[in-house]
Amino acid sequence: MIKISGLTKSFDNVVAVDHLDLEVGDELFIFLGPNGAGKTTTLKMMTGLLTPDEGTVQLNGISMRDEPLAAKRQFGYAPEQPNLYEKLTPNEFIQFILDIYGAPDQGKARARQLFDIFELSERQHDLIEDLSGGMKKKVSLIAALVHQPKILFLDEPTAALDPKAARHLKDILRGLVRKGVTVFMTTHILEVAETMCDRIAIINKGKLCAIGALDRLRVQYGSGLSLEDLFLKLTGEIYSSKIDEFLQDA
Amino acid sequence: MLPLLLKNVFRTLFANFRGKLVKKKRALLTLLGLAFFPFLIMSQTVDLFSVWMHIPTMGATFVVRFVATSFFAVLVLLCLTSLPSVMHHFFLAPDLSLLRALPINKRTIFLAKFVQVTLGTVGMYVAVGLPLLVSMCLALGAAPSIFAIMLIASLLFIFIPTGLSAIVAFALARLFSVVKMRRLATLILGLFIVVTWAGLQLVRLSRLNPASPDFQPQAVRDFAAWSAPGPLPSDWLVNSLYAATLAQWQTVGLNLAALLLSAAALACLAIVWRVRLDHKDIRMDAGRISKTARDIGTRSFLRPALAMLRKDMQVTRRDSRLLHSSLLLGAMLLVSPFVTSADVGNPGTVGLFMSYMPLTILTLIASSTLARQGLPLERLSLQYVLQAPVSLTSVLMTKIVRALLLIAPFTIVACLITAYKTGTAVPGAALAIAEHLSFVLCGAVTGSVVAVFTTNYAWSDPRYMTNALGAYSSTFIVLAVGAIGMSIIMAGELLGQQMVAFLLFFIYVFLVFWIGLRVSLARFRKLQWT
Ligand SMILES: Nc1ncnc2c1ncn2[C@@H]1O[C@H](COP(=O)(O)OP(=O)(O)OP(=O)(O)O)[C@@H](O)[C@H]1O
Ligand SMILES: [Mg+2]
Repeated sequence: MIKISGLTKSFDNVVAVDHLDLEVGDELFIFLGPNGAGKTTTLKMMTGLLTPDEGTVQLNGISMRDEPLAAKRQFGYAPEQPNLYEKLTPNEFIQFILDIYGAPDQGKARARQLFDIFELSERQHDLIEDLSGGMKKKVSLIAALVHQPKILFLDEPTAALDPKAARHLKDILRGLVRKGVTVFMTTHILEVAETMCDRIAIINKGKLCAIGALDRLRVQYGSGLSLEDLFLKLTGEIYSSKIDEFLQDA
Repeated sequence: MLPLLLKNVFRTLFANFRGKLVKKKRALLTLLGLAFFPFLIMSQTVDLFSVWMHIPTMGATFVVRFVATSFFAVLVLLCLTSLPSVMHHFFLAPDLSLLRALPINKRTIFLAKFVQVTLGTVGMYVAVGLPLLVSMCLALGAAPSIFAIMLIASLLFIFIPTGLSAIVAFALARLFSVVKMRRLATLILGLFIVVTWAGLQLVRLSRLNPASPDFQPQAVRDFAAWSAPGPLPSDWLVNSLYAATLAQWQTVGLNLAALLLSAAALACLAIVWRVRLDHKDIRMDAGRISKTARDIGTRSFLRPALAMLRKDMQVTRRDSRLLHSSLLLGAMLLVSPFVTSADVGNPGTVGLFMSYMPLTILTLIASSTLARQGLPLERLSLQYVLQAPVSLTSVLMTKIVRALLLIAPFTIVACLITAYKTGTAVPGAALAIAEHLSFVLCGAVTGSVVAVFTTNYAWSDPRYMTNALGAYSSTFIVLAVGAIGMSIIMAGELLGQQMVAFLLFFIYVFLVFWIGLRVSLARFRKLQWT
């Protein structure tokens, strides 16, 4: 259960998130929006990394402002940029996460399974600085999954993953939702959104434009629209004339 | 293409002086710190050299000899400085792959890199090499025009250490991983600096100064008997200047030609070799850690804090910059009892107190310096700690404990050495250790307060996080905090109320710790992860 109301954050001269209200149950919820829409900023506020200017965040009924530690125990978060400790090995990093979350002994077994699934077992004793970009992303996903959180915040989890790993991740996420975990993720890959989400929200310039199950949105904004058409309709025009101009010069 | 590349090199070099004010201030303060060295060296040598000039058995040849010998050390220092830098700029620099993708000749790229590495050593040369030459020329009474020759000779000379290091680095690159070698090379540089520093403290220049009470004629004779190993670039440099003062232009020309030829030959060899290495495999991995991470072994509330501590120690051990600074400070602590003259340790307790004082000051500075790294070492990964259910208090405590663990062993050993040298009795030594450990705590707390306040929070690059303002202010603040503690102990000694003083001292340390933690927590809470 995630509940945010009136969430607002502005940076020097931009309002990144503007009075956002959302309620997400035990479902796979996808957060869409153009670059700079405020998705990452929203996630950072929900995970306590940024203090909102206004508004509240409640995770499983626990307020992030009043009881930050209890609220932080509810979720796992894989950020957009992995930014791991370069001088640790994946194995050491995951052990660090398990120790910090006080995860029980089966954490080790889960870690081993996840390393296997994401084909990292061979590389788990190399320093993270030697891993490829996609491998680092996988390590940060494992860190979010390994301590069995009830809520998962994933910022563009499938970006940089190879097709097989992306498929594995999607299967894992669907399975977890069936077991009562709340998954809140952003993505730019509409195919991912179309095939796996329960509900989507589209934000633009920090404001919510649409929210609901895909079928319901189609009914609302015109049947027969693909998600891509819907997204573009809600978030702005296509610059076809400018593209023609560019191609002419080329 | 080369001018364009060099323009970029200069731009990155001076980037610190442009842009944000904070960055500018930091760069200026660093420069100010570096400018201190030439003054220090010249103040030590100008008078000494002119005294030597007036002694018939010494004279100009002795001065030149001395400078040439010292310059051999400068040459080694420059080689060691450029070695890690060569490994970085020729193999690991992130812009290399970009440059290679551009339509530029590889030789041009590596020539630009060669210049870049050399420019990186200029600061060191100006700080420790140039002042020696200036002192020598002043003592020899050279005409001002000699400074033009000094400039030309220096310009040729500084390329030589780059070339030598490049050749060593390229030979080793076929055998070992470059990343590991860079780590080792940085460590060797640090150790060399500590050993030289300690050596200079032990071998006092005043022993060679006939005007000083410490003068030892034997030391002069020993020095004169010691001959430098053959003609070296450092000798060519010094000889060209000496010959210029004697107006022996042919010798000047020969020496400058030797410098020019060897610089050019080394540069060409390095560049050609590096281009050829492009077709060989060069290992750049940081290596495997064979062990599986063990369980922390406790289920208590301490577990997250212990996990963070273990992680910090792993990072410190594997990050050459961090390892380097803690070993450097540790070595300085160990050397300090030998360096400070123990003669003040006369029977009175105040004298004894004084003989511990340099160690106390060094302890304070060392622990605050290490504590200041605590937050920046997290880099952007701090997000994993901030999103985890751990309190900010325990995060800050871990940082303080890390500094304690890194400094305390050295402090204890240094205290024992001092106690042995001054003949302190066992209870006195135990007390000294307890006091110094308290000073370590004071220093660590002060350092982390300063870190929380002065950190720039440019998470992506920790070098930009600790600003020079923080470094300077932390030195002052930690010394002020320490001075209060020292004066409490001192007052106790003077008034003969040692026990009361120690009690007050420990209360004071506790207060520093508690207030420091509160203050830094208040600031840390406001931290925004942007
Ligand atoms: N630290 C910051 N300082 C200033 N502005 C910021 C900062 N972080 C984000 N912003 C601004 O807030 C807005 C929202 O950014 P955010 O990163 O949340 O977008 P996003 O939806 O995640 O975009 P993307 O799809 O590119 O990841 C942008 O206009 C961005 O420039
Ligand atoms: Mg984003």
